[in-house]
Amino acid sequence: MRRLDIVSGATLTLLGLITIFVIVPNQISGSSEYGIAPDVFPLTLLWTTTFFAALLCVSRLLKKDTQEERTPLPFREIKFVAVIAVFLAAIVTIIAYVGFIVGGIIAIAVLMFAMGEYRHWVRLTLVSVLTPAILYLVFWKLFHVPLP
Amino acid sequence: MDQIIAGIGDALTLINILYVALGVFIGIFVGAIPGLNAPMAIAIAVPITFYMSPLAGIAFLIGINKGGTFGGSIAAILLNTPGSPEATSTAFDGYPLARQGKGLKALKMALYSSVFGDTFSDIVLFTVAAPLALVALKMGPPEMTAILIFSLTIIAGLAGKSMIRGLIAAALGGFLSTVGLDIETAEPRLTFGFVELDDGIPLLPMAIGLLALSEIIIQIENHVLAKERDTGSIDVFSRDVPRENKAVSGREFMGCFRTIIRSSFIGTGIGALPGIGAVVAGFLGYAAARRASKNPDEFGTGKLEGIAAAEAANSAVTGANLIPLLALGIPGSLSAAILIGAFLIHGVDPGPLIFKEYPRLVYGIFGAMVIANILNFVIGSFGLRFFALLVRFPKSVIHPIIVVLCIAGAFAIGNTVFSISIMVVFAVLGYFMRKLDFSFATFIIGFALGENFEISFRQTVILFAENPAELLTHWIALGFILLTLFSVWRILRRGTN
Amino acid sequence: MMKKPFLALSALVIAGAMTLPASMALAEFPEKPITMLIGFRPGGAVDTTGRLLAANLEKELGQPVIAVQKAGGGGKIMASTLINADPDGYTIGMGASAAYTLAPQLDPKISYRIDDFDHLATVTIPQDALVVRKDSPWNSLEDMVKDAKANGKTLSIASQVAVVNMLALAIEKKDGIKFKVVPVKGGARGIQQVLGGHVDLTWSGSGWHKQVAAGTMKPLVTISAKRMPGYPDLPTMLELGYGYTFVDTFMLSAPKGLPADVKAKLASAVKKALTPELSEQLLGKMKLATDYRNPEDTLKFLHAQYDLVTPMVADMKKMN
Repeated sequence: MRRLDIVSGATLTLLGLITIFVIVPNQISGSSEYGIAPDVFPLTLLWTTTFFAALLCVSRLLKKDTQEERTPLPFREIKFVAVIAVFLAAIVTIIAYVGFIVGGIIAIAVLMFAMGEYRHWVRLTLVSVLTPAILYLVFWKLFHVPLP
Repeated sequence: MDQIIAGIGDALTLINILYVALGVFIGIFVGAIPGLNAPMAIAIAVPITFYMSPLAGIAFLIGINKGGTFGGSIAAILLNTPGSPEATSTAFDGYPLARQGKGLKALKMALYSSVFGDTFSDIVLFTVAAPLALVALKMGPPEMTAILIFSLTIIAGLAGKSMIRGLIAAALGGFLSTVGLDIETAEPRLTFGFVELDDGIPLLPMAIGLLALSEIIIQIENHVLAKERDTGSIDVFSRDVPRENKAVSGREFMGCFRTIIRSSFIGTGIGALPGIGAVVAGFLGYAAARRASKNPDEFGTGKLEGIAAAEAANSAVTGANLIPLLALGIPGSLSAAILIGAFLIHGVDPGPLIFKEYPRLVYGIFGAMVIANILNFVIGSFGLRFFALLVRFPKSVIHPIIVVLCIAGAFAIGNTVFSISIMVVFAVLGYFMRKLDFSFATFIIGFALGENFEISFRQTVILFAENPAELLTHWIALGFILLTLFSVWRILRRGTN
Repeated sequence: MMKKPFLALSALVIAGAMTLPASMALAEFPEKPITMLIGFRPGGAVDTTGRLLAANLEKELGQPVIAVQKAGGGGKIMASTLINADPDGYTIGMGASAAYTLAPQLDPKISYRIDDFDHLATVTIPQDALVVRKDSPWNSLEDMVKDAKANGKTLSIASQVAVVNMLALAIEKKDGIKFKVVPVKGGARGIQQVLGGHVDLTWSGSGWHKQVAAGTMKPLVTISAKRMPGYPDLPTMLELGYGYTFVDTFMLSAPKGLPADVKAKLASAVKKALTPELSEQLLGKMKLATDYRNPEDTLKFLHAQYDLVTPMVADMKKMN
């Protein structure tokens, strides 16, 4: 946990500082006539986040903890979440530009395949095709929610 | 008196009971499915009530609301994935119990405490709605600010293993709650030009991503990276499971009784105050039970009391939510705001006059609420068996379907692809928070309380900037500030021991 | 054994999904269901107007009119979605005028303008009022101003929309009194603050009727353009010489570029759909007054409202 705390603390500190000095001045404007300016709360909370993130990083650096536990986030898991993030982004794009049914079919088929369902390809095909189609019809006919 | 009897008589007609039953069923169903939830179903169902009688329509919607409060705990306990956001704290102890083979016991405890909390707050609504609403009215900006500061101290009880990480998560959640149009100047803050963010980051897609989808991603990961063989199908019915693991004994229930009562009070109080919500109530009830317990370390390892604390609190919000609505005409939550619409469609304007103008309808609704609680218990008892069976499907089928359900559900909130994107972003954030042990409970609390806190605080400043000394006459606010100082002192003292 | 019906069903579903967009032939408009985007959340005044109107439109057009929620940002989200829809008459939007006249001036980043739409009709208007608690010493706006002047009071007013900030500015300008504008999230919260005695007054578009009926609040004045049918004794701010009126009218729009015949057909259908029975229903249930305008007049009205608020928005921005 120690090494991860150092890395995540440092990353959060950096992100916090970037947000404070670049994003907030860009994205928040205006002042208040008789109250508190719009950027006071966001900045206070950001400074709090950044302060504790830095504290996390520093306190773990100072603590010479020799008995390192198994790291809870090995590299292959980082690779996995990166892949799944890209995958979900792709699915959202497909849903936005092609449609929910196509995106849904691909999402279920790929996930089931990855989870070992290729052994039961009939089940894989049926579930991946039927689920989005049924969902689409139910949402539209019953609830008037037009999935794209 | 005639009106009361007539109203209850209306509620007892077969058609109304059927509508309530349908509502409760839908509520449990959407509540149980990660990605779908009760406020969403109510929003979608309001137009359908156009074609029903006022009582049937409103009873139907209230049925959905009540069913949803229990439904969420099913997936939370069996899959570690809250079916609705407010059931997140139910998973803390529910899932460990399910893994010990006590899934059915956990589900029953959740059902009993949910129905108890719900009934408790309904009774409060029936008996003391008007005086309680008047007390809530007295809570002006300074009082709300003080109450919210006090509520923030519960972060300490939910931070998990590391207080620093818990505080980082809380501050980050608070920061994200400032996204959207500034309350005073109406200028956009941190919206990057997305109109969709004008009203702030939408809570439901965020919660679905952070609380449900992130957990599903981790379980898919465990499967794909073959860290676990398919042990997932937790069998809660088979004959090997001893009887005491399938049922909650009277002694076990009574052992949690103090906790259930405490949580019911917490939930009712939060429901009566506008704008805080059931998710926070669940966390608060859980944290309070832990703080009061002699063995706080047992929480999170599969303690029945933890389930009771969470479920009683989040369910007690539903009845109390109607207090400001019926007594003052002011909605206390998103669901209540949508319910107002359902009333208006039928020409009934809920407010101070509703008891005088439509007594029969009001007592009919009260009757329907009692019926809904009973039906919730009955349908819930059968329903949990049904859902527990579903869990026996292989994870490689269930999980991909849940992913797509989350996507469809997120879209249905506001009918926009934008909310799917929000959900995905927070799912990835939630993944890292789970892996790196940043408490998402404190994150959600920071987010949910942050916005209200900012508004109340800024209102206070505007109202009292000229004459701050006047604040000293607000004794309720002062009382809560003193309570806060006391709790912080206690936390610090415990910390140094 | 489960396979066959499943396969058949899936084939059916897919075939059904594919034929939906394929049926585009040249027949008379409309030949498929029309989608009505609704810019506010379910059960509200705009939503109810839209849904009741949709039911009548269905009879006029002979095709289903399906209401789809697109709530948020006071109608802004609906407007920015509508602008990207195909201008074929099959997507129309039910919103409120402030999203077109006020929002783009408050937030220059908003990408649409009044003229980016084919506005079809103005339908209803809310009946609004400036309200105080019933035990307040003031019975009229005049009382309030006199009291504030005589005793040097700074009054507090709860504000949920920019309309209220402008209202306060208009009074400050004419009478030289001072307001503390307390921002609140939604009109119901404003009423709550006034009922609880935390704030002196608030403006409300719809929630105030029941409070007045119950005798918990008193109306002082309205910012409607003319006196409201339900409250003939309540003066308007225009009459009192403040030169301020803002009516957030509920209206139907379509993306720019509708074929002329489609636009004419939709406009006349809306006019016919707004039957006297519907008006009565809206007034009785929702306290909404019917105020029909045809496409040309609606456009004129929007431009007039836009120009009216321009100087006030400038004043407001100066203060921030």
